[in-house]
Amino acid sequence: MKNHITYILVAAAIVIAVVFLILTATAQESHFFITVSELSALSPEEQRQPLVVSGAVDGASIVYDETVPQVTFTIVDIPSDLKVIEQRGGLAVVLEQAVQDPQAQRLQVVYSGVKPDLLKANAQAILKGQLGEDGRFYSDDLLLKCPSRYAEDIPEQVED
Amino acid sequence: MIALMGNFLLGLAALAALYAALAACMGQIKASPAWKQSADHAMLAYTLLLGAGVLFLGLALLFNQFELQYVHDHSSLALPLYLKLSAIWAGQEGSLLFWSFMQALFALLAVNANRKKNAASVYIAAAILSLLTAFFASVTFLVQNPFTSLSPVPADGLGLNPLLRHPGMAFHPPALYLGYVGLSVPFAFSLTGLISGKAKEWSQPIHRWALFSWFGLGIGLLLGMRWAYDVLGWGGYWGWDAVENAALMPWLVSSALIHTESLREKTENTFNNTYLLAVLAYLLVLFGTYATRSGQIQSVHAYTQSSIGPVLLGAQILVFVLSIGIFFKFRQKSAAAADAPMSLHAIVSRLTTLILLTLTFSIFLGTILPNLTQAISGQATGVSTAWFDRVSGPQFALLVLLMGLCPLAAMALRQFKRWQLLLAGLAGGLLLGAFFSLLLGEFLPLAFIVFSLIGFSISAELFKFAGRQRLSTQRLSSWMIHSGLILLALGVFASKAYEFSDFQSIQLNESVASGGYQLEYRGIAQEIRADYLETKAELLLSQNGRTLAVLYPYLNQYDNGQQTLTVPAVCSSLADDVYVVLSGWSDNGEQATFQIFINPLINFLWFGGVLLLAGAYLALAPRGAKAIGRWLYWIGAVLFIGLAVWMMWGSAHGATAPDSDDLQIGSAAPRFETLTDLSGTPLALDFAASPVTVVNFWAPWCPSCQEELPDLQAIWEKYEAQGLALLGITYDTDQTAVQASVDSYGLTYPIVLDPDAALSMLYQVTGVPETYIVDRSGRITFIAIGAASFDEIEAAILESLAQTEVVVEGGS
Repeated sequence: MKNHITYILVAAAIVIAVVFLILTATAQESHFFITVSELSALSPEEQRQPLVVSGAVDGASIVYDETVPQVTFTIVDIPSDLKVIEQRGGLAVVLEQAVQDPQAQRLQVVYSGVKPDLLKANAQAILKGQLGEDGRFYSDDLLLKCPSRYAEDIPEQVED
Repeated sequence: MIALMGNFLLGLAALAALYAALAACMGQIKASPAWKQSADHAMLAYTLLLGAGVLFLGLALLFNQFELQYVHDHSSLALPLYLKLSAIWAGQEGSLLFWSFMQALFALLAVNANRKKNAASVYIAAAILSLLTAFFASVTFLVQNPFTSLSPVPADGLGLNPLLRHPGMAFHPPALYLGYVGLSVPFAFSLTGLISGKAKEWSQPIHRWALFSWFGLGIGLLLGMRWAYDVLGWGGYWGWDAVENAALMPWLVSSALIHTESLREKTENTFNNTYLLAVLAYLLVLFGTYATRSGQIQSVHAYTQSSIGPVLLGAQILVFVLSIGIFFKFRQKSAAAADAPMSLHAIVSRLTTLILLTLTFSIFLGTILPNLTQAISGQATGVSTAWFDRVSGPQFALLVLLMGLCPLAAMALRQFKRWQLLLAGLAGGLLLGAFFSLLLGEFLPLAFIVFSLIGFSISAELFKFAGRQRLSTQRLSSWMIHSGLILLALGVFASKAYEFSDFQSIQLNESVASGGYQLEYRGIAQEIRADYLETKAELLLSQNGRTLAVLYPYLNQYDNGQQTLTVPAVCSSLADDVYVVLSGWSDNGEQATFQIFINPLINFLWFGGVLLLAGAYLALAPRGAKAIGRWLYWIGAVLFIGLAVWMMWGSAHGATAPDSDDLQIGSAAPRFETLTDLSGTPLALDFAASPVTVVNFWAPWCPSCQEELPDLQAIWEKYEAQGLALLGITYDTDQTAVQASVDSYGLTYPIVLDPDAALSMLYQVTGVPETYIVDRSGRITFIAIGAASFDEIEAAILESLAQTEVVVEGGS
């Protein structure tokens, strides 16, 4: 019987510890997934939180400073709903249309890191970071998806 | 035609599987041998039909039958043979067909193996497994059909995604499927055991199949990690991506299942826990296919949207509801088990299960959080990889601790008392903790604690090994698995806690220091290959003046840069991996940019992984097999371990060891037999005759050589009187051009022509200019690849002189 109580106490302690771990980690390491247009709709406090923003890369805006290294570019709003994307003819079409649409909302991005190979016109960029005081989005974690001629799309992960 | 045949095979197989399920049910309920026999025939039929379907798709790929949409999408004329065959599982449709075939095969094997021993209830299992086969075959046939035809027939296919063109493609997906599909067997068996009330008889087959699936998933996970490490070029191997998590979770739950089941065999616990874990493991397999194939999980990883999502989601819900319903109807209500005394071993084993489950829950939560929050609040919230590290790290550490405590709790230990073990473990732990902290340089308190913990468990495992009076296969395999896991944990933790990454732009022929190593950029070359442009850089890696390897990181661009493949060069040692990625270059190749990762102790991860898989293979040794079976088993063992080792370290990693006869500082300088100067006069050159000899390889047309010539002339003028020998060797055959350079730079030191490049080859000259300085004993004291300035050469001459004097003084 003694061993049963030991087991139950230890087990309860472990479960409580894991719950505690999950709660504290979630408080510090979670972030909203949003689009460019949703970002501007957020309240100023919400905008200061760590966020994940996705959008289409405007190829003409890419500037790479190799010495820092740092890349600045602009992303354009695309819908987040997969069904909407499918209706409009797939991701490749949506990305291209977004970049050519002068009315679409845009966001300037400053990415600290080496310029990834996949960062080019009409790619989908998924950036983790924070909105700076200057209205630019600062990120050091970038995920890129490019419409490719191959059947699968495998996202390239760039991490620091 | 091909499409029609394929569809025929597939459709018929689905029907046969459905019929087999029905016939098995009838046979079981009515205890009718006729129905049972009919079910047997149907099972054999659907296995053969699906096997033929896979073969058919394989042949279509092999013979470039682009009239099939699937072949067109995943293959091309130029694809190598093994990749054409691997394309069977490269896409959704083909992999589902392959999955259905494996499901059929496992159903047949699992049922046949239990036909005699569990004759009373085996057709329940046959019905369940046939139903699963029917489900997957129907989904393949109706929703994701690989035999859809294209018209008009294209001339060539799209080809396989470059990231998938890797030997990993041949082994990683099928190994994962062994695990995924294999877990359907413990699921079906535990349902059978619970329904028939014959839990005890089904125990051993559940254990074996769980172990087998665990082994398959383990191979798949390890290969996948190595593959990601070798081709993705981000220095890591695990990104907590939904698809990776989908394979890890069933692996964790099947670990728990194996522990629970072996505890149950020993202590007469209820079968309920086994049942629930087997159901959970299979539900997670279904969740895994859903996560991989539906495009619904985690928006950042939106894969191709497909209509298969709702079907798989429906199957998960159905399996969940039915399993829970069956559990409440048939569960074992045993009051006796709860009152039985619980041994220390049972506590450790149960805690292991508990932590494996909390770990699985944590990973599951992190994976579905975006979907969960989207559903609840309409605003998707996701978590970062740091979240997973923080939440899972302490839980993995606890598991390592339990692996150390387990031998203490085991009753089998007789030679040692518990306190002796505890003391030895603690001492070993602190010692190893200090050792690793010192080895890796920087002292981090957290790292010291974790290293001590790992050291404690390593010591405990060593004691466990030493404490065995008789070494049974089972004990040896368990020891290998757990030691492998601890070493793996060591590699994961050290490479994470002490990870170093750097970014360097290097000028041609210049060298930079990074993370305790020197890297010299020696050039870059581009070459057009089959359907891509390869850009390969060459770097010389050295440490403390000792050359370690020549590294060739490269980058392939497909479709005019639409897609790239970055292959790092990795120089591995027990202490660390130097992992170099080519990330950019200037147009003239004068400068290139590299990302450098140093991953300490990471080879313990790969080694631990191989050890644990070898242990699992040992645990699967056939019992009471005939001689031929044993031979096959051991041949399989050699092949398997060989292949695993090759996948970890053997396949080309873009690093070559420098040739042992490569000229380095300290090697003996090759002697020149015959030399003639520009006027044709023979020239004697003996290293022993002058305190310092400078040998310069050059060509009149080379700009950096021209830059260097005045400096060399100045050196000659300054040191000739003191006995310096200086020799310019040019392999340009145009004597007039050489003479013109000599005249215009006013060179007065001896110039030698090397028309057939024999002298240059002697010194392994790869380009001009190169400069060697040799001391009186004939030892090379300085090498410059590329132009060297007056100051550099002078400093090297003076240093060479100083060293020679020291040697002479020391000798006298």
